[in-house]
Amino acid sequence: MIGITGLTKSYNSRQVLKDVDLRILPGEVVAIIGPSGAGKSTLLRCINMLEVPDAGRIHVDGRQVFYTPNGRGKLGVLDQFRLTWLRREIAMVFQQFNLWPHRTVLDNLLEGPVIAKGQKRADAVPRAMEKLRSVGLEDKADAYPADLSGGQQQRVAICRALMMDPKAILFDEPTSALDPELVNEVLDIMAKLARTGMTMVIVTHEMKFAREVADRVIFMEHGGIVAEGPPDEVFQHPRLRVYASHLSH
Amino acid sequence: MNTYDPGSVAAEYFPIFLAGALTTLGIVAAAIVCATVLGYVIATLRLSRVRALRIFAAAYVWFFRGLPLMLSLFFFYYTKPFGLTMDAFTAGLIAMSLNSASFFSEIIRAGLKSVNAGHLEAADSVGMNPLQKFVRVTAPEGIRLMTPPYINNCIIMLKESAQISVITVPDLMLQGQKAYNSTYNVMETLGVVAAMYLVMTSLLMVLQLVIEKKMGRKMGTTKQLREAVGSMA
Repeated sequence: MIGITGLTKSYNSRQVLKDVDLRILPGEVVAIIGPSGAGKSTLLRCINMLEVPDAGRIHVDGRQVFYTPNGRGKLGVLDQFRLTWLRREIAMVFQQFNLWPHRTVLDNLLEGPVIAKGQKRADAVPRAMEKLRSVGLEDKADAYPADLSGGQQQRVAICRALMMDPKAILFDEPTSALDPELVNEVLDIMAKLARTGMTMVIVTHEMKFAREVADRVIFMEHGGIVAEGPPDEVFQHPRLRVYASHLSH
Repeated sequence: MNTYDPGSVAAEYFPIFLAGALTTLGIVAAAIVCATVLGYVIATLRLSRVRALRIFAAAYVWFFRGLPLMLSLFFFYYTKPFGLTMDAFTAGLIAMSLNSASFFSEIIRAGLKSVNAGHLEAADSVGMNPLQKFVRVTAPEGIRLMTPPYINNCIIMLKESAQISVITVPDLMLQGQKAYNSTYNVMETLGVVAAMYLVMTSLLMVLQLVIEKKMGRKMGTTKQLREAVGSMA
């Protein structure tokens, strides 16, 4: 589904990704864990070109992602036009939800399919309502994001990602901005989604979730992958045990 | 015998004042449109990655923001710049547009810079192209942020437009001057003119309130406000 070889990226002189290789299979749920500054989010954001790598090859669903590395690390305008296909295949859920505050919940869900993909609104509305129902928010369709709790906003953001009928969804620390009591309602939705066979790449600090839901765990440190494999194996890795001991005081 | 008949100036000259007010509205509206377009261009140049463009835009703002409007008016009307002879209306329009574009560009630049980067990334993440991103996210969010200073500047433009009477544009101010020159009733004439200016500026203020209220409600700020007030109590 997603293939990455030799991915390298620096900010100024600091190397955040050092020659990273990664392969993600269809239907696989992969959790990327590791300390802050390990390059987890950067790796994730390179997959859909929110960050432009300095070097390395990326394949998505059999297509190579051609990009032009530049000093800014963001896509140029022409590449943005050229790579819209990539973003329509790979959806994303952000730490800060990033719902559009000037649109209702329903309109947030419709932007992708109707505006970006050009689908008919009348066709998209029932699908949007169905997604909202699946996360228990059908009564919030006409609310504005500011009227929702963080957990509700993130559930809407997951629906927005699903509306793209993506081949895979990237989650960038989806519960890090939530109050502790709201974390589980989002994790539950994600676990449910994982069982449907959706390909998911999740950067997270939720160790328990990674252990229980992920098919494979990737442990990153200092811009490289230190360990990867089935959760039970990776969680035995000495470096990860050091890291985990810092997490649980 | 010469008796003063209150209201006579207003009654007799009202159609002329009205024509003057329409001229004022026309030139200000046209100048707002031109200055907004030009201001937007300058703002994007100022945010450009090309250093030379940034410097050019900064120089433009420095130059026109630092010069009196009156000076620009005289320049375009009296010096026939670049061999162009123009009527007073055109000269006034150009001077006002160039002058106000420097202010608008700063307002627009601040607005564009304040658009939430995460909301733009969300637009990227659903596969919007740069054009769609601008129309669906940058513009609506930017307009909400820019409305108060933007309308404020429009009101300033409307009032400053009185200066174009000096280069003989038959605006509300000039019609007023003509009226009291022939009637010698300065007080009443200026009173009527003042009332008409206030009507025009009030309309702009109402427009601002309407836009702010509409956008504020849509963004759910009323609830946020309630919560903010609640958490203080």
